[in-house]
Amino acid sequence: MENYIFDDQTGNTTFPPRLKNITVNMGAFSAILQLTEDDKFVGIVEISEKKDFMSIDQKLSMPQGYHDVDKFYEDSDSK
Amino acid sequence: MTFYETSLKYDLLRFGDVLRGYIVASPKITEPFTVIPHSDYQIEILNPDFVVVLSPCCSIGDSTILLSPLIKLKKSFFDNPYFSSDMTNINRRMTPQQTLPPEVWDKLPLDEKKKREGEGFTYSFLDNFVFGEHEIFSPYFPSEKDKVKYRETRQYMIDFKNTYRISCDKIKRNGTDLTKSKVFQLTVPMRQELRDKIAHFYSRIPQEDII
Repeated sequence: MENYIFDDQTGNTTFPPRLKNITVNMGAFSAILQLTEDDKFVGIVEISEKKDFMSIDQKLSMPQGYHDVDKFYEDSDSK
Repeated sequence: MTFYETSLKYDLLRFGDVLRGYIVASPKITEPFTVIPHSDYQIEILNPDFVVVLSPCCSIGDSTILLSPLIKLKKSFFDNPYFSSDMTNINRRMTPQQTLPPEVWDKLPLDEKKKREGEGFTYSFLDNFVFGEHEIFSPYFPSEKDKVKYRETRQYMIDFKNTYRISCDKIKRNGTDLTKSKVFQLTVPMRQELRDKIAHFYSRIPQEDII
């Protein structure tokens, strides 16, 4: 994806830094950090509460069934 | 929580990616063939705006990929305040009470409530995974008859039962030819949620197999 900016005054072409977001989990919270391509810290994009708070072991021990509620959600006029 | 990655590096295909530029082909037969070759079949071709990659990351390649089209949400999802507050709650485990609008739950017979409570903290709508709102998605009204109660939304979902295979020579694990067709990819936590739910979808033990 090319993102370049033309400098109208001088004709120079400059390239803004290419950034990436990474997600870091910290206990009950999850932070999205913005980094440069060479992994230099730029800023914090978002801190949010983790909704998926279970470990793999906890997930494996969870109920294997499901809530069968489809009959309560039958649309009659979705058009 | 952020649903889509904003990284500029879109030269890899990943599980859960949203793509455009693919057709959906659905073969249909009236009954299984008893004589081969047979020509009594139909193939329906659709052009969805967006499709989602359902091949696991490590299985993408060899010019083949599994896809599922993004479809509109059911109107009735919006009747449940737990869902309408954040439609992606459908993607996660929930309590039995959260699966139904409070007024519906309250009217359930006591024995049905007990039975449902016995299921514990687990998934509902096993076939569906909701994709968060994004400005690139076309807005629509879940109900054309009541545009006040059912407000406009840009959220869509996939149905795990609506998965198909497509072949394209440009589909490679590490190719860059598909940059233009890739719209965005899920963040790592959201991709994990999709992985968890589709794994649960396939790992259910049917009643007749329970010893």
